[in-house]
Amino acid sequence: MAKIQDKQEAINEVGNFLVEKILEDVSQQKSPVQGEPSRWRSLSKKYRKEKGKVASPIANMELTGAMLDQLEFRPGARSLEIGIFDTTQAQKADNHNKFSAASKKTPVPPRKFIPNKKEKKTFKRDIINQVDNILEEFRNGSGEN
Amino acid sequence: MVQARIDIQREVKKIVDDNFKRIVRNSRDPAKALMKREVLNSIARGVSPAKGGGDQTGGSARFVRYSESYINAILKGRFARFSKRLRPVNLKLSGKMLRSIKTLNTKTGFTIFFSDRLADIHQNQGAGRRKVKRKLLPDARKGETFSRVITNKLVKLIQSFI
Repeated sequence: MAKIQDKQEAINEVGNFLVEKILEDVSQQKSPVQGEPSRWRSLSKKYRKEKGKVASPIANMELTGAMLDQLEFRPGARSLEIGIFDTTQAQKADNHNKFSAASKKTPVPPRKFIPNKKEKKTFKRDIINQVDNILEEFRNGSGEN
Repeated sequence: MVQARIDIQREVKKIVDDNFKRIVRNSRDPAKALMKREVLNSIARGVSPAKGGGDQTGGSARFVRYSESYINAILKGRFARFSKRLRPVNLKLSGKMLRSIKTLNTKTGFTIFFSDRLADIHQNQGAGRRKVKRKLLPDARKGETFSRVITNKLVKLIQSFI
């Protein structure tokens, strides 16, 4: 297998893609996480009415937009981390993704959009395939600059 | 000696060129429809179709939030007849700008553009007092590209014609 010459460029390309893909799936009320139901439960009637006054009345993880505005990736030398690292918004994200024991006790229904490394979760197969394609481009030397 | 030369390279090039023209011809209309749909869908969910085009820095996929004054105007009901909401930041009020999306054939593919002047304000000049730029399309002259999500879908479509 050919080596990737520009590792950082490849990592950045993958990171940007994963952020875009999470945003796309979430906007369609879908989870990008392996093993999760393909479509999230709809909002309750009461919350749908409340949310609809200021934002789209669907389960798209966006009321003020503050949480999703913080979705980012952090590149490492050979890998990357993706998530919401801002401490104020991370709590909100945790309530949806149920990483911590405390979040599992909240009444917020699970709507996971970030895979939990501790549970050995990853992204759905289609997303992993697209990541593999990106890396293949960089191995072939045709990755974007 | 009696001999004949066979130029395989020329024959291969002819086959490749013919197939290349066929693929471009057959995939163009579906590609135009796909790109219009994906650009509009991306904007509708508050994400720039240009990679990193959500803000001035080139580092944000999502469009920068509306200004405080615009948010206040929305909350006060100034745009209620358009059902305008705070989120997503979808650059849509009447929808006139977004409906102005068009495509134009070129020799090797097509261009996609918005003819409404508001598009230029968002894209190049910046909207509002803060002159906030939100990219509707990548500017190839600046080396910008479509988001990876959109590019992947276009590539997958074109591959289906090969």
